[in-house]
Amino acid sequence: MIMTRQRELYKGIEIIIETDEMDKPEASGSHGHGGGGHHHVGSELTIDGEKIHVMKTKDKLYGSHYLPYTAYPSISDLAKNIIDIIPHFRHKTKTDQNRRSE
Amino acid sequence: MSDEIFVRKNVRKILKDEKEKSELIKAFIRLKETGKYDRYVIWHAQTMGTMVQITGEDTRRNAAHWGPIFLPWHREFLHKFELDLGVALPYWDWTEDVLNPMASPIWRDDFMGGNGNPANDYVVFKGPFGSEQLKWPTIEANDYGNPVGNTELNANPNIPLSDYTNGSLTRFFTLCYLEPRCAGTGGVNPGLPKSIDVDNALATSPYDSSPWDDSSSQSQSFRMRLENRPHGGVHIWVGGHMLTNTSPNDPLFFLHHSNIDRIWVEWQNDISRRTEPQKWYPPHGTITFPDGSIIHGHNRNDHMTPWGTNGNNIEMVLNHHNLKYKYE
Repeated sequence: MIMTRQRELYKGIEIIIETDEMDKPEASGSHGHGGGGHHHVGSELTIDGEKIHVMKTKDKLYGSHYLPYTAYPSISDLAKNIIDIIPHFRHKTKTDQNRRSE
Repeated sequence: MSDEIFVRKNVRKILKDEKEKSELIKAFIRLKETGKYDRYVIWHAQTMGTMVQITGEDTRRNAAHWGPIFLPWHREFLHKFELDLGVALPYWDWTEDVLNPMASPIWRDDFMGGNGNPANDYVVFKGPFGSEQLKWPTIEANDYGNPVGNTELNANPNIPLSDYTNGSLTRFFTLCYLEPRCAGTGGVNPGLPKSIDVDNALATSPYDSSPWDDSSSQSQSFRMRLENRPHGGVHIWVGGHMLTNTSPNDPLFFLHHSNIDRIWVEWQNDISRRTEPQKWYPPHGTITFPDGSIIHGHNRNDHMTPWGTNGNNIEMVLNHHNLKYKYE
């Protein structure tokens, strides 16, 4: 299993995405019908230190319990929408902006 | 036959009757004050955080959404809520507002209030649920659906839910037009669902089909056809809390789901299946994962999360007359 780690800042909030190489969209052909040995780790998303469960759809979109009615083309897009919409993250972006302007 | 307790009316009718309208609003505020309202918000978020999948399955199916249980679960949820509320839940038929959603009478200042204020974090200001009145503190939840407040509160499970309520109701209508990353739609908000979207759902059978999740074929699953576009489309159009796992923070949630349930009743009443309840839901034991094992919690005789045997099972809610309400 190979994990890649991607870190970015969005509105001052840290996003960390750890992706199992097997979980990348281009590797999806290897999913399913794998028989007994198949295992699946998936991707991990951390926003501002909070681990967030990521779900992948069969259409290769990414979803979260936080935003249950929508799905996004990448985990990064999902993370940015969580930050913009979920109150306890959105409030942190404001606090951060205040901090920067002080 | 006429022992129905609650008659669910079109919200437009309620708005024309000052007494009915104010009784409904008072009932919502009363339920909020007792702390019972917030239980519904947390139930929704916790159920959302309860995945129902096997290892390696790419799906968003949980214990209330993106699977066959979607309609029965929300029927039971609204039924319990309506009993606590003490008055019938009206339904919002959003197809009547497609041409000019912003001008819908439901946004009146003495009813749902309108859009959130972009200059103030999309907080709804006007109306009984607006921040102006200080009567509608929202409750927020984490990824697993547990209430979030300050960390001290989180450490103590004996603290009542009402101690976590410190947010304000938010909405951001059509934000998708401004937001290029919106909703995986390429930045285009398709607007409120139209009559044709509802008609297409009503014309779809059977009730649901394998793989019983968010990838079930729209042409082979009434449930998916209704859950995805008309149902999800309204959540997306209203935005704010309606987009999140705590969507019942917005009282509009209940008016929207009353309409979704009404459409299900209409589908059940179709001449091709009204006297054949076996067509209303797949037989027990036939809803299975790709490997053939049973999807527990979504089958016909299963009880529902989080109520278990303190609530009805799926079979018991399929005929809505058993729950003592009807649509006008």
